[in-house]
Amino acid sequence: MAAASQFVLESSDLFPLLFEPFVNQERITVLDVGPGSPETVNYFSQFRCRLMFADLYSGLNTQTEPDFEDLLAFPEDTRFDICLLWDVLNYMSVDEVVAFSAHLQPFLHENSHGHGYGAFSRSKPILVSRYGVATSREVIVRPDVDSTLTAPHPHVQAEISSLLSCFSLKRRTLLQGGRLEFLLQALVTRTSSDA
Amino acid sequence: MFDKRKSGDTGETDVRPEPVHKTEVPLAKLSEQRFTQHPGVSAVIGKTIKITGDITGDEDLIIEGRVEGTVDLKSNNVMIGESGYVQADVTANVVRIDGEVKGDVKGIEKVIISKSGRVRGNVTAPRVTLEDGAKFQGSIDMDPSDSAKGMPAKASPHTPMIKPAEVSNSANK
Repeated sequence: MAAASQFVLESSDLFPLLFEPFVNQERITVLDVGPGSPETVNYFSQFRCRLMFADLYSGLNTQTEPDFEDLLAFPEDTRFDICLLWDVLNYMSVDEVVAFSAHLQPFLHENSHGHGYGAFSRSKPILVSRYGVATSREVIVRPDVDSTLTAPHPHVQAEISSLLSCFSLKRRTLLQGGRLEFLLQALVTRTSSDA
Repeated sequence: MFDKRKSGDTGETDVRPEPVHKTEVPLAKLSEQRFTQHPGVSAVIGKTIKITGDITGDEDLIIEGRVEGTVDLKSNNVMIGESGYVQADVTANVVRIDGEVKGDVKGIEKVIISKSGRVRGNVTAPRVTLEDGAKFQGSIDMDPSDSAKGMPAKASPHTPMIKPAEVSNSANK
């Protein structure tokens, strides 16, 4: 687990775009797939919002197959406006990303947006870190105490596009450390029950 | 202090008055957070006490023991101490969690999950503070406009935000 005091503030060009569609919205619903982060709670406490922490990292950090039905057990009528995926996909095998996508899709609407990190290249491993929202333009990155640990399944852009079928890649940018930052928009067909 | 609802059908047990006692407690930590409305006096459920049932009342409460059921002290403050374990829905004016809670927590004014706090459940409050090191899994419903001192209800997420104190005090950038 990362030492609490060690972190890096990382500016993001894509992060503001994540919030843009919801500027005039009365209330937003946010999924954070990480463990509860003080900064993220602090940031969103300024808005009318529902913030859900799923902590998939701990669910993926086991020898057994992740039970996404349990990890993503949200109330049926939940529809996330914003999904903070951080780098969680890099902890999932190909099959797990597909399963994750299938389980997340029912909780998205056609304007849902997501944000996350993948790998620019498989030859550049992604160091284990934890993330939080500092400001609408900055992300807090907390490196693991053991700075040599890397995410087990770094996924490049083409894999993310094909495996994460509930989203389409809207924008991406390359970051230091071999990471690819991406902005996602949901691929959800509006049904009569959503109207 | 307690609402003794005896109902054998629901499995609730008697809540005896002995375990709960008024005492002068060191509330320095709490007063820093302006936790108590009546500093120095709170009801305490001690470390070795286990209560199953519904807790209601009109005074602040510190839980250092184990509570299963509901805690409903809307006008008062509840602190779950480091040794406290609560498997219950908790409603209070301010809820401070230093121990473990499995259940839904509603703070009329505020909910604070401290660095030693562990919560699995849904939190509803106008303002929620999660301290560094706190373990939280669940949802947080926040509506600053519900609080008298709350921020504008419809601030835009796009607005440049105040950085966390920890960030502004650090040179790690």
